[in-house]
Amino acid sequence: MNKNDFKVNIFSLSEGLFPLVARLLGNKTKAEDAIQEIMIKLWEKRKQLENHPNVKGFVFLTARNYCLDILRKKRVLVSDGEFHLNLLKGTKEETQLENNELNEIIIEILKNLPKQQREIFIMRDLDGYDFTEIAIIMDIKITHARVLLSRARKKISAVLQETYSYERGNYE
Amino acid sequence: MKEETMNKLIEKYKNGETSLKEEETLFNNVKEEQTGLKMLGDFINNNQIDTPHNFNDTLWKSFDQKKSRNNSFKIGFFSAAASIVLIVSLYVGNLNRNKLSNSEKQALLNEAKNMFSDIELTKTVHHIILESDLIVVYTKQE
Repeated sequence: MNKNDFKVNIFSLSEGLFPLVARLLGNKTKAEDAIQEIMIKLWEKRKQLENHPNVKGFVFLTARNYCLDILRKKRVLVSDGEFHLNLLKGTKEETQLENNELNEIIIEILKNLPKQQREIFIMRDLDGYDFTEIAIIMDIKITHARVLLSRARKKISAVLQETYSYERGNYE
Repeated sequence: MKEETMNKLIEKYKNGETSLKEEETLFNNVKEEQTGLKMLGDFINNNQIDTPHNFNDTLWKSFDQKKSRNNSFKIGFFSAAASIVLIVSLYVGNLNRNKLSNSEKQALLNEAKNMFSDIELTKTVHHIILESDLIVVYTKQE
């Protein structure tokens, strides 16, 4: 694999990795440095990647494991292999007070969801990953990922609907 | 968007069957009265992570620099190591050469000494028994 092939086939996935790495590490600046390191690791393994049947999957797994290693060194992980995706504070600068209230309500709902459902919801609805990527990162089947996402969406909608009805009931 | 289509899309969304494109359409067309979904759409919009502009290109530049820095470091390291090996081998080679010439010198010296002792040994002692104007009779001892 020459430099150009690497750039087109592997390095071009950097943008796609950004949300995942930023959420795992909880920091956008660290995410940039981490992705660069991940790409250097992949460059060193470029011979292996040449005939790999699922290059994209390999890249995502390498990125995930690299982040977990960093977190493990910092002793952030409670137990081996456990990770969580962070909702970054101040992601959008123009966030207004009203939005902060909304954020708090939904973050509370998310906190009460089972971990896997929460992670999948964040990956799909916030970060726009497709199901093949989610399945690789979460190490589950695509159909299972769909089911978990559906459960999460239904719960969130139901709680939001309830909250809304309650508020309307108060003000009317 | 027709209400019926919208409702179908919402149902599909809740079942986890929408494509990314359909999800985008859904949140772009969600109406105020569908408050739960509207709130969710706003939340998603607020918490999405914006990937830096031209991330692939800017990252590639620094990646390329780092990679070539790594390469030049390797080249530098190996050339330094090669120079050290060369110097050491020359030094060891010279040491060996000196040793050889010393032993040669030793051999030469021994040879010379032997020659000298030979001469001494072959030095003959003449005992003159009879000496006249015409003849000299002597015995020789080696």
